[in-house]
Amino acid sequence: MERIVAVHDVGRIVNLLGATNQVEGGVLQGMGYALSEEVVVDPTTGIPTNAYLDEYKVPTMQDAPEILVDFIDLPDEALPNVGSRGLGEPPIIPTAAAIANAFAHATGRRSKALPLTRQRVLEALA
Amino acid sequence: MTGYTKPGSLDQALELIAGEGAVAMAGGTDLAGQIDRGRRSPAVLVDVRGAGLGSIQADPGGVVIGATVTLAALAESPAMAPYAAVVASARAAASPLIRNVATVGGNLCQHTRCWYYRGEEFRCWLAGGDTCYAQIGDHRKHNLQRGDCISAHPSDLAPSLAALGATVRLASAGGGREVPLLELYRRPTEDNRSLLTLAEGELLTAVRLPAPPDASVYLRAGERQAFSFPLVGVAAARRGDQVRLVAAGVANIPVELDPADPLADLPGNPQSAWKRRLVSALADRAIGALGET
Repeated sequence: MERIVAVHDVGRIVNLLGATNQVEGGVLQGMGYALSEEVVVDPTTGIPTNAYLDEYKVPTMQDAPEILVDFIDLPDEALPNVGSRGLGEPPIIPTAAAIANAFAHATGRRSKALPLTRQRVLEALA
Repeated sequence: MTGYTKPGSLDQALELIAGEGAVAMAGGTDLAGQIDRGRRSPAVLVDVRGAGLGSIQADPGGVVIGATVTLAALAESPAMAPYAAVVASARAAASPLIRNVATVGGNLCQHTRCWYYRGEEFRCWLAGGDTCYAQIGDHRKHNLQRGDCISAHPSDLAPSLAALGATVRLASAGGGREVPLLELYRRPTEDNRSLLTLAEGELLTAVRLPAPPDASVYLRAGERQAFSFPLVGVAAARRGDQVRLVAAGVANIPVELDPADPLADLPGNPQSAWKRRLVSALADRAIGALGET
């Protein structure tokens, strides 16, 4: 992963630094969802095989790409506050889909399942 | 209740290790995880970091690496620079925090990461039970050979050191021996489930490398950029026109591969066969990176 651009329309930005950090964190979570995080359940016993942080792979700082964050920053006049909408989970939501679309755009192949591990990428390319 | 002791000399350490229930420990990064998940229950941990095994000594014939040299120190040592594959392995393993405490001896003697072996709820064949849960369960990351246990060898360092012709020094209260690194490992059998040929009371004290090769390289495929054991790790070294290729992640132990046919003895298991493509690609790239004589 080299670069992710995340632009969010969340109304008026009250705290630019805080909002930017929120998006960076969400993008990394979305990236984990897209590329490495997966609960594996043993098919015979139903016991999760990777319920530990050594096996459940969240992204590390070395996996973090360049993340470009920007905002539309137009106050939402319909809101009864200063015109700010929420920015909690939204940065996570489109990220995995965007990464999977980038993979499809680059290779012409789609994987029907996430995360796009080495195994799924090789299988999609086979 | 596990005891802890840190002897100040090798002789003292070897004497303590020979004791009932004693287990040698250095960084403890693998051992602590095994204890946490109920796989090991030592009566006493013998911390061998005071036993004088923490230095790297270069001489005209090669280099001797003490067993308690950390992976971080190994990666940074000027004496290791001519052994590119070893430096790359030391940098690839684990994470910076772990590399600051994890040692060469511990990395070579670490146990498999098989999630059934490591899972508290399972007591698999390798752990003394009667079922290899991986073979009836999820073995997408397991090895590429058939057998009673299909766990994958996890060390990044072992392939590089073995490709470079390393020997290991094994000491015990009764004496010592030096064997080629690959002879430190064994395939587990019905009556002995150990993956190591270390005898009771024996300690790996040093790794000896011969003079540097003409070229060496270590390539690996992990699950993320740091803190991931190798799905497959391939080391290649060239001396003149002789190429040695050794891999981790493909068998229960590190194995030497035929440079002309790396997949020869690696048929794969149903869910792990996809890793054959990693082996083949990494072997090609590693051999290609060695250059011509």
